[in-house]
Amino acid sequence: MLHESHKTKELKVNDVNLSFSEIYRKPYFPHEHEESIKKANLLLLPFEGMRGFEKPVFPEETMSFYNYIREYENNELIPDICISDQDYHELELHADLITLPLLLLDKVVLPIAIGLITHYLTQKQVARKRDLKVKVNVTVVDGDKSKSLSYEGDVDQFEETVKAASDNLFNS
Amino acid sequence: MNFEEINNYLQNFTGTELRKDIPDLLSHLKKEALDNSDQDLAKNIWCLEQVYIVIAHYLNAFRHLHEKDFFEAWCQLDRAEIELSFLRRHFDYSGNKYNLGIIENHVLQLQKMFPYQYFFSRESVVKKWYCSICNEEISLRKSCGHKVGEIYNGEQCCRVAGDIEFLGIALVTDPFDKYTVIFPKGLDYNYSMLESLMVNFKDPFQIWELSITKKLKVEYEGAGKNRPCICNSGKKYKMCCLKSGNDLYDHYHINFFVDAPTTIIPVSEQFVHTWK
Ligand SMILES: [Zn+2]
Ligand SMILES: [Zn+2]
Repeated sequence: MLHESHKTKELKVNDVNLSFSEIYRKPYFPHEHEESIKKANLLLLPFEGMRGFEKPVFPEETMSFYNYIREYENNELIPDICISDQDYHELELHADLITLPLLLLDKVVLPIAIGLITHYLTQKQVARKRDLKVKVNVTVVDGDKSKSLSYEGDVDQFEETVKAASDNLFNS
Repeated sequence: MNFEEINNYLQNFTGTELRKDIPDLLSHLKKEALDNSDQDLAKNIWCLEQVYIVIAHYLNAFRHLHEKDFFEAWCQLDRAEIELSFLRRHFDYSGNKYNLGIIENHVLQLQKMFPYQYFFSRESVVKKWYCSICNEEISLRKSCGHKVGEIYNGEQCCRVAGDIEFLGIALVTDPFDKYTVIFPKGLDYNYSMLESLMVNFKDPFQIWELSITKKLKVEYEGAGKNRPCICNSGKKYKMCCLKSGNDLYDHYHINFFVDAPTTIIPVSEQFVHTWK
C-alpha cells in the first residue's frame, strides 16, 4: 500500500573542507562566468560521480530552483550557479523526493537561505497537495572553517530543524 | 454550446459519462478566442479543458475499478492527479466546485488502497531543453521568457527534454511515475480492499472517507514490556518491536456518508496482504 508518510527528519552536521576557493579550482568551473561567480555568496554546485556518470550533474528541476533564487528579493544575497550553460546536465531519477543541488554559502546569508529554501519547498507542497520529502545539503563557510548540514525528511520539518542547528553552528 | 453553457454543464455534472463533444467544442472556442487575441478567454477555456480531462480520468478509473481492471484504474487515477496539479494554481475550485474537491480527495484515498509497493524508475541525464510554447532552446542563463506552468495562447508552458542519455533502471518505492508498477512473475496482487469498497461505491461522486489508524497485532496483545520480544530477537519487547512499531498494523476504515444508511452493505473486518 502507499502508506501515508510517517513524519520523519534527519539532520547531520559535519566539519568539512569545502571552501569557495576550492570550487574556483574545479574542472567544471566556468571561466567565462568567473567574475560573477566569484562575487556570489551562495553557489549551487553539481554532484560529482553520480550513478557512474562521468560528468557533474544537477538534480532534476535545478534550473527552476536557480530561476527562483535569482528572482528572490534580497539585498544581501548574491546567488549563482557554478557551471556553464553548455555543461549543465540534469539527472532525472523520477523519484517522488525533492533533491536540491549542493549549496555552498557564506555564513552571513544562512538565515536568508533557510528562508528561501523553506518558501520554495512550501510552494511545491501546495502545488502537489501531498506531503513531500526533501534532501538538502548546505555547506556553510565561516572564514576558514566550513560545516555541512545534510537534511533529509519532511518538507514541513525542514525550517525548524535546520534553524535550530544553525543558531550555534560554529560555537560548538 | 457556448463557453457559459459548457461551464455550467461541467459545474453541475454528476453522472458517470461526460459528453464526448466537449473537447472539440472547447478547442473550437479557443481558436476563436485566439483569433480575437483574447488571452484571458483562451486561458479560461484551457481551465475548462483541464476540468474535463480530470473528471474524465476519474470516471475512467471508477469504471475500471468496477470492472476489476485495477492496474488500468491505478493509471487513470495517476493521470487525474497529475492533470489536477497542473490546473490547481490557475483555477479556484474551493468549496468542491465542479466536484473537483471530491475527486481530489477520492483519488488520494483510492491510491492508498492499492497493494502496489515497488516500481521501476528510469534514470537518465538530460542535456537539452526546449520551450513547449516557442520551441526555442532554453539554457540556464538564457530563457525565451516563457515561464514553466504559465498559460500562453491557451496552452500550458512546459520544458521539453531533448538529448537524453539513459543510465539505467532502479527499483524504487517512491516513484514519480506511478504507472511503473512491478508485476513479479507468479505473484498476484491482492485487491480485496478495493473490491470491498466497490460493493458500496456505486456513484462516483458519493462521499466517503478513509481513515488509517495503527492497531496492535493480535500476537502482541498482553505482551510484557520487559519480557523477551515475541519476534524472537532475544531483546526485550520495549527495546524491540514496541520501539520499532513492528507490533502495529495499519487499520483501514471507510465511512460512507449517506442519507439512507440501509443502502450501505457493511463489510466485516478482514486482514489483507499485499499478495494473494
Ligand atoms: Zn518559449
Ligand atoms: Zn521484536
